[in-house]
Amino acid sequence: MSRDASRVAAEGIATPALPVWLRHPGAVAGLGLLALVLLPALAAPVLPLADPAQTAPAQRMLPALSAGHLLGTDQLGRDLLSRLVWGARASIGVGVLATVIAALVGTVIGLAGAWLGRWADALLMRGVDVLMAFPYLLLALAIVAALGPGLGNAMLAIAVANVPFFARAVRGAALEIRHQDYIAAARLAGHGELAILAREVLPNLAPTLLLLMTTTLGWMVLETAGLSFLGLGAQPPAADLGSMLGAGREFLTTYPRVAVLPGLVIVVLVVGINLVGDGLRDLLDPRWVPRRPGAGLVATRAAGPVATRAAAPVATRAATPAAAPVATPVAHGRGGTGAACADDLPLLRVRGLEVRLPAPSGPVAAVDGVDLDLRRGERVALVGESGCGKTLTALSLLRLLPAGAVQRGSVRLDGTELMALAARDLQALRGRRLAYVPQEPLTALDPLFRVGFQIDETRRAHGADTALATPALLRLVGLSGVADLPRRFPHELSGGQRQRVALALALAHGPDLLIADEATTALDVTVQREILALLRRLCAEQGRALLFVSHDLAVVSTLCDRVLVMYAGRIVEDAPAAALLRRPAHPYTAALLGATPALGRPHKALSVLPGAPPMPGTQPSGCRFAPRCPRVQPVCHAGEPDLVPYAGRGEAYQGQDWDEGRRVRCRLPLEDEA
Amino acid sequence: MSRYVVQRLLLLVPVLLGVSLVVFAVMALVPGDPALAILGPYATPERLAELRAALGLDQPWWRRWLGWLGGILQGDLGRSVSLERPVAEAVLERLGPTLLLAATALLLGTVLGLAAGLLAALRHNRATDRLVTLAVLLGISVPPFWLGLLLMLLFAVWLGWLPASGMVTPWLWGGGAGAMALTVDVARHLLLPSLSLALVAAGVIGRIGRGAALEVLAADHVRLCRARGLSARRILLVHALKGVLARVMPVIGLQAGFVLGGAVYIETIFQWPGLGRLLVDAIAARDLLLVQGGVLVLASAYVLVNLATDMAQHALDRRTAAA
Amino acid sequence: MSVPLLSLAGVGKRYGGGRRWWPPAQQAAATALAGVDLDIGAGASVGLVGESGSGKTTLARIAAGLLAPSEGRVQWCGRDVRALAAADRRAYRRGVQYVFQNPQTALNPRRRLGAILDDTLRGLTTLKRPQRQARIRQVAAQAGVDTALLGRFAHQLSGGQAQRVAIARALLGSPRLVILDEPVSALDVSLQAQILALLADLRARHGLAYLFISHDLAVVERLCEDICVMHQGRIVEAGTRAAVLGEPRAAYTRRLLDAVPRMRA
Repeated sequence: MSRDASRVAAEGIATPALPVWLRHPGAVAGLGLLALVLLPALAAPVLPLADPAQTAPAQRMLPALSAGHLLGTDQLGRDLLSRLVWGARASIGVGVLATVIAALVGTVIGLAGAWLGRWADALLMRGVDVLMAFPYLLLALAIVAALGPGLGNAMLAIAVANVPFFARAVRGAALEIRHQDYIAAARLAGHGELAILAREVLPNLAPTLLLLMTTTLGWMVLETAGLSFLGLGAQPPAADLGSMLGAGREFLTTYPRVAVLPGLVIVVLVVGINLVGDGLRDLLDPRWVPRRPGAGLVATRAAGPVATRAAAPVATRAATPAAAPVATPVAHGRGGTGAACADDLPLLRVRGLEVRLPAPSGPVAAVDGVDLDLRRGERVALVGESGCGKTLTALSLLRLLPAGAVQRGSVRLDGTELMALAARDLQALRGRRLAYVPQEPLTALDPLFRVGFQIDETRRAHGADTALATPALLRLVGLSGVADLPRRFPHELSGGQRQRVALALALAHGPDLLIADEATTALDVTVQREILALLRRLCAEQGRALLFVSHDLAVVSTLCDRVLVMYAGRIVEDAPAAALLRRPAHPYTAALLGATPALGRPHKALSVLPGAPPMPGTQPSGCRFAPRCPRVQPVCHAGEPDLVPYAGRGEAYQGQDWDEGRRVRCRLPLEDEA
Repeated sequence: MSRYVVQRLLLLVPVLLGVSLVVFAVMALVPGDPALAILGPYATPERLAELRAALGLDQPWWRRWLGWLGGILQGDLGRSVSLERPVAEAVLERLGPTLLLAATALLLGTVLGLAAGLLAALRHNRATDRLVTLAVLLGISVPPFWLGLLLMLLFAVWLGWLPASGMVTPWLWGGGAGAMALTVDVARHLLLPSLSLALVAAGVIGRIGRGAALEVLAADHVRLCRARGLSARRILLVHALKGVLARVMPVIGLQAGFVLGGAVYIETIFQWPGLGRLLVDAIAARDLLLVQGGVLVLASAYVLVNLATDMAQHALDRRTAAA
Repeated sequence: MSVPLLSLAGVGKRYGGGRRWWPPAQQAAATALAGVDLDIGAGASVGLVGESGSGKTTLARIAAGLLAPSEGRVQWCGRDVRALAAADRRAYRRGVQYVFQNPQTALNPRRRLGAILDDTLRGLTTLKRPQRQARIRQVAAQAGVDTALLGRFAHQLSGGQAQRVAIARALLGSPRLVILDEPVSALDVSLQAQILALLADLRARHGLAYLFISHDLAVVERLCEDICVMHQGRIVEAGTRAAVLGEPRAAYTRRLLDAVPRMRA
């Protein structure tokens, strides 16, 4: 369901106005801190610094800002600033070297494990397991204890202790790459394994490895400093930051400066490294959207009730005609309100619904002014291709949009304005009067809880006494035959069983309106048929309204009375199902129908619609379908047409007006040509 | 569940064997002749050969390993040269204080880290979140030994609120102080060293916890709990919290490794009578058997902690399989 | 009758099984495929339908040589593929190509599309660079890929465009058999119709044989003359399109046909 959002985000990254990393405040700050330590350390040999090893017992522990000693001197009268710069140089050098060694060895081991598999992999990974069974510092300590103290040995020990970490991470990443189709494709092109490793795997592994190295570098610097602190790293007169700290410890109470300053340099250095690492992680993540001043607030604030509540009242007033009486919240009782207007008021009335998604160039409208009415017991389909906004429309009816999306407009259930409801009142409606069934039931069920627990908590959400009893509920969705079902976890069920459980959760309180979002798309046809039959029965027998979101017109035709067709965030046609399927009025509807293959008619030519739907934010100014429309005329580009009543032929079909309540958003709708 | 436990217990055997092999192998890296190192340069060749035979150095490595392993199983880790007493005795005596320090640090770190992570995720992109993110960044970037020194300087030296070193106040334990007073005394000594480790562990746990909480709160199955009419409170305290715990549990296990290893620094700074300080002293005295024994015991403790976190992880999320 | 292009006899595939030594346990074995016989003649178009987990993709990967069968024999032009001479091996490699369900994962995300195509051609042929470039332009045009797109990365393409590139890659080496694994399932209907038209056109133009895998019977009916129905790792029914869809004999085929949602208008 975040598909639209990620599409928008991905599109935007292709054309950054500024080098992207400059728009990452963390990365910029990190580079700044890093430069603060790194530049002097690199330039140490050419800087006019005192000799860091030159002792001067007469000048010991000079305070900061003494003549010739900017930061004073240490216990042996050595210049502290010079020692800090040279010490940082040693610490950075050792950290980088250890990281590179660990990364190289770890990569070789990880790649070998992932690629050789079988015995080699098992052997290597058991070895890695054993090394990881040590607290890494302890392993390093043991190695230094054996090899003897010294900065080189400390570096080696830290590198060895971190090899398992790299090996495991690289193996995991490589295994994932190994199972990608593009590796299979390279095999099909006849390339050898080494060529595949070099050309297909390494480029895809490189970002992961770079990221691992950056995030590990900080640890490595800290760990080598730690060994030096214990006197196992740099040996006098050479010094790194850790050994300076260790030596300064003795004078902590009298001259804290000598121990505190090296630690501070370590902190600045490591904070810088970690910030750069975080920045790198964000920049390498295709889902990351750089924050913009101004647009940032709308785009990144958690949507939830806060953002929507802020936006709703204004939009509601705009969408409600000034003359119309403000609807009073109707009592929440089931089975109608008893008010006189209950009959002509639809169960659900949506006006001017708009959903905006964050994008690099500011929010874009993915759902753009949707109006729809749903009567009691009516089964309405919302169809369209991916990215047209149908899922966002469905979620916004419950005010359940993903974070970052903002909705406005009016959604009234039995006259109650949902957009104006407080979170608590909205919660009282969800699951009781409106219920939602998602495409993938794994997203409706918490994988960490048993099915029975989730059914119970749902039943208790609005008082278990009004809810259906669990056995009755399971019978209703055809699960009473599954032994031990409440004790199972969602992953222990088949796809069809999971979807039935999702339905049971939605039906626990007998809602008036069921919103099913591609609820059968992920299922096999034989299972799909059962779920469709179940949905049909549950709605017909209990007079329940259904909003069925789908991309599949054939499925829709077996279930729904009325069909709404969406294109690029707008409803372009609204018609009784039979009329729409037989005689579509909008050229897009006709194209969709013409492109759908039908079983039993293999020779019917499929109409081929060129191009692809526009992305949110890039819609044309005229009719949004005009660029792809086979019937386009110059007039179509002049402003967007409205969704207006469409009379059709006015003939009757099975005793009903064929085109009753039909609407179409097209200046040149299809007439009866067939 | 029980099947999982049995599998995990069986897996302990090769891991512990491997650990002992690594410890043994690392000590075999020591350059030079151990017998020469012990007896000094003026030993006679006969005396050297005698000691080599006594140390088993004339046998192949795997026999020496098995012999050492056999000794361990009988509780014999050899004899410490520097302490002139059995290694096992010295190590076990120091294990208690280290475990106390590590457990306190891990508990503090987990509570602080989880609280910070959850708070930041709930206040995503607001001032609280930025503050927590900054604190967490500092936590993972600070050397624990430096943090320990700073805490000691501030709370013990300058403010004088807490004792600067040791585990107990000697005169208190000599006299007839009550159990309550003694517990408080240990707790006062424990606070600074455990906090030095806990703040760093909290940094890592908070960082991972914040990411996990953001991911869980945005996950469809948690968001769609709202579609079922569950209260925000229930979604947070039942569904989100369990999801976060399941994701953070492996990191808590890793932090157990950090506090056990980091004890080496902290015990040195705070003069805590634990295994870490013993190790540092043993390394300085080149008492290899003592180092070997200490590392083996600490690593085994870590393996057991990891077993516990793995089981907790399995209890939280049944999709995790054994091995 | 002439020798079929590709012939599978008694092909089976098992995953897992065997004993784990520590902790000791007998590991569960899963049978993905059992005793499958399938012949694909030159220029034929065979549809493979079945629900998820029926073994369609396993069968396709074995046919393409991406997966070794646990039992049975795969023959290319009458010769066992495990015992091909070097020249025949090259012919097999060039002769069978594969189009994956998701074109975005089938194209290396870190390489430009032009480089991917060039690499494929370099692996399959001994052509020199200018010849390869000419061939790529030619095939790209046939597959409806704008050559300007070849400088881009896969994620910068829409699903339909990326699938066209993936089809172009499969055609570069002038294969005789193309295995299409759910090539239109991830696409919206309007794009699906475009790709189906392209596939029909390419087959007519080059006399290709297709092994077309889909869960969508209507799509298979449109593109294939022969249809095999798979269920639980076995082919439960095989025959001409008219026979299988018109007079299904296997109970499972009837159940499948019944379940297909049909447009009611």
